[in-house]
Amino acid sequence: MIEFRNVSVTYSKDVQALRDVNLFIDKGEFIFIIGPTGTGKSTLLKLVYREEKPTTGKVYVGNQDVTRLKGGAIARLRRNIGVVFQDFRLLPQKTAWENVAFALYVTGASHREIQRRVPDLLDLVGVIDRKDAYPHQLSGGEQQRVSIARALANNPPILLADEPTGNLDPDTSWDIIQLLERINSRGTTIVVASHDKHIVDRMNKRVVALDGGIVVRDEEKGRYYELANS
Amino acid sequence: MSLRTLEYAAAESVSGIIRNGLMSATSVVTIALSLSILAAFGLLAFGLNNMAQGLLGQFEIGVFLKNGVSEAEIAEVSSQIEKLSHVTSVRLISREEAWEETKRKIGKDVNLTGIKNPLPDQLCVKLDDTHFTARTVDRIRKMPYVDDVVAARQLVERAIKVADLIKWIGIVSASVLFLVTAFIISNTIRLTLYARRREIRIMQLVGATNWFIRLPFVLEGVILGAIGACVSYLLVSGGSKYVSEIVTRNFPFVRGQFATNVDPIYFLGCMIALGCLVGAIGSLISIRRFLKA
Repeated sequence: MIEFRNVSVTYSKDVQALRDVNLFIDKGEFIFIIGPTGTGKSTLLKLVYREEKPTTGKVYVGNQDVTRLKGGAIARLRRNIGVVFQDFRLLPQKTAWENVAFALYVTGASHREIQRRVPDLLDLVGVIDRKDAYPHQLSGGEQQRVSIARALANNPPILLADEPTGNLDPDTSWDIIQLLERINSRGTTIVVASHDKHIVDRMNKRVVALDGGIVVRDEEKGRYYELANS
Repeated sequence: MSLRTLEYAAAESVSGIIRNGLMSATSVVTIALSLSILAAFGLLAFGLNNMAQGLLGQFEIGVFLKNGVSEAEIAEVSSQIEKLSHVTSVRLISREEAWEETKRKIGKDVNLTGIKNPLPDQLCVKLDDTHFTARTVDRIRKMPYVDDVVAARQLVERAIKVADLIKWIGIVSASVLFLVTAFIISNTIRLTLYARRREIRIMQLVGATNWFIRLPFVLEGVILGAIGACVSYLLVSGGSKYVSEIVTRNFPFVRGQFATNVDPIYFLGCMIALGCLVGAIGSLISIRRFLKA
C-alpha cells in the first residue's frame, strides 16, 4: 500500500530529515512511527501525501510513484489519503458540520451527497450531537474527532495522523486512538506519528522507530522503548 | 467545470470583495485611474492617427502622360495603374479640362487667348495606405505613355513618420500602464489569499484541484477589473467630450478630423474586456506565488 525505497530528504548541507529509509506498509495495517521531536516523523508522512518530495529515492502509494506526480494527479492522490494533525486545523468560522461538508464540497460532491455523508461521518466519530458547534465551543477531543471526520470525508483507504494526541489529556488521547483503531478495523490503513509512550505501549501494534532520520527499529507488536533499554 | 463550482466561486469572490471592502474600493479606484489614462492615451492616439490619415488621404499621385496619347492609350495606362495593389482610385483630368480650369483660375490676370493648350493629360491616383507611395510611384514611372510622376513624397513621408511615432508611444505607454494595473490587482488579491490561507491549506489537503482553488480569486480580480473599467469609462467619456469641445473651440480647422466619437458601446466593451483581462492576470500572478509557497 505504502512503500519507501531508499528515501532521503535533505534540506541543506547540514540538515538531513531522512536518511535512506526503506519501509513497507501493507493494506489494512495500523502502524506507529515513533521517535523524539525533529527526527523526521512528520517528513515521512508529508512524503506520502506529497507535501514534500524526497531528495533521492522513491515513494509508492498504491503502486503509484508519487514522487513524479503533478497538479491534478496530486489532488487525486490526496482524495485517497486522510490527514489529521496535532492542532486539528479546523476552520474557525465554520461549524463542525460545515467543516466536514467543506472537504466534500471542494472536491466536487453534490449537495445530496453532502447531506447524506456528513451525518454518517459525524456519527462515526461520535460528535453528531455537536454538529452545529463552532470549533471554539468544542473540547480538544471533540475538535480532533471533527478533524478525523473531515479526513475520512472522501472515504480514503489511508489515514495519516501526525501527533493526533499531542494536545490532548491522557484519557481523551486514549479515546481518540480507540476511534482510530475502530476506523482501522473497517479496513483503513492507519499511520500514526507519535511520541506518546503510554499509547504506543498499550496498543501493542507495529512500531517503526526513527532517530536522526534513520529507521533504527521496526517490529510487530512493538513498544516505545526496546525491551533491553527499558 | 460544473455549475456548482461556478456558484461556489461566485459566492466566494463576492464575499472576498466585501470582506476586504476598503482595499477592494482602493483597487477599483486605482484600476479606474490607470485604465482612464490608458484609454485617454488610446483615444488621443486614435484621434491623432485619424487626423494624420485624413491629411494623408488628401495626397494624390499625379501622373502626367506624354503628349498626343490617344483615348485608348489613356484607358490602357489607367487600367494598368488600377491593377496595382493599394490603389483605390484613378481619376482622369484631360488636358482640355485642365486647360479650362487654368483659364478660369488665371485667365483674368493673364491673356491666354490664342495660346495653344500646353498641358498634358493627367491621372490622379489615390492609395489606401500612403506607406506605399514611393513604391507605387516607381512602378507607374516605368509604364508606357507616362511622361512624369509627382507626389509630395517628402511631406508624405514625414507625416507617416509622425503618425507611426504617435502609434508607438501609445502602444508602449499602454503596455506599461497595463502591467502597473495588473500589479495593483495582484496586491489586492494577495490580501484575500492571506485572509483565506487556512481554507486554501485545507482545500489542498483534502484534494481540491488547483483550478477549483484558483477560480474564486481569478473571479475576484475579474470583477474588480470590470467595475474599475466601468468607472473609468464614465470618467473618460465625460473627459473626452470636454477635451474635444476645447479642441474644436480653439482649433476649428481640426474639427471632424480629431475624432473622439468612437462608438460608445464598442468603447465600453473594450474597456470592460481590458479590465477583466488585467484583473485575471493580476490575480493569477499572486495565486501562483501563493500556491508555490
